[in-house]
Amino acid sequence: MRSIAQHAAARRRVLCFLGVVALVVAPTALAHFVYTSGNYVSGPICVNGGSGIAEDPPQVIAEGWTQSYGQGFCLTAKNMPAYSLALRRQLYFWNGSAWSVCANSGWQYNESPTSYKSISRQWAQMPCGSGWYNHLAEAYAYYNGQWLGGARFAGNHYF
Amino acid sequence: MMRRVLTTLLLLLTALVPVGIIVAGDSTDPGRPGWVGSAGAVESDKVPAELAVAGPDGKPVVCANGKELKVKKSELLGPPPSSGRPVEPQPGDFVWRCGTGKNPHLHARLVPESLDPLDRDGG
Repeated sequence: MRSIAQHAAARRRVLCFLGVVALVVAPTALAHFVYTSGNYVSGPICVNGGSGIAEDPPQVIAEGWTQSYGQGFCLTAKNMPAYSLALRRQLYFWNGSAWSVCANSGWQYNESPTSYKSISRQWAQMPCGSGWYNHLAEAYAYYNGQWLGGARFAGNHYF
Repeated sequence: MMRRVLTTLLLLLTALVPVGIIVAGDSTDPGRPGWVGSAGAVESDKVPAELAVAGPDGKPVVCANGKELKVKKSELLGPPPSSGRPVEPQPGDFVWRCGTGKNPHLHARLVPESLDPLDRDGG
């Protein structure tokens, strides 16, 4: 029959082991979401773009939204007519010496009036294999005969 | 007692070795591209004139003439080509692949990923 001291020692060892495993596993299990956003101000409107990349499962998001601009600020949401808000997702891959292009969504437009649109994609397996990825999101709004907006990288993510 | 210690060590190794491989391998963060500002915004005047293309295995795509495929900056950065015109949405993503003619590496074309000639899994 095992003594109380032996049981306590065994329990301590198990807890210690679980603690070490948790320290190793937990950071990798937590979803890691990298995101940036910003404004592209031009004339009376603000075109805002956001770019994100995350894991579990691997996924990216591109967002675009429009606001009226005045007194130095992006103010209230401004609806854009159909096909006047354009987004594109582009996946970049680090090939060991340089960033290279991997895949993209092609341009996607709002099909009805709106001030916000997002496009996203998930993968079971990354399309260019294992390694470092970055996500480029482009957001443009068509206003007064021209496209206004820009492109933004989310940040690096290892898959 | 000894068996328990060995089992614990074995389990620890099983957990730590993959982490070690990643840390010691090619997982060093390469940093953001040189043409990207600190907040992620692309500085288009600093973007290289052309960029290489990664294939399904992550290696640079090489065309039939033995040269690496390149995509022009003008094709990688907006604005969109059309203006306020309805565009039929396409299912799935696109990949850049070699063009045709004498210099296929200079004439990258967009191919739906489901029709990717380099995808050995058949899409």
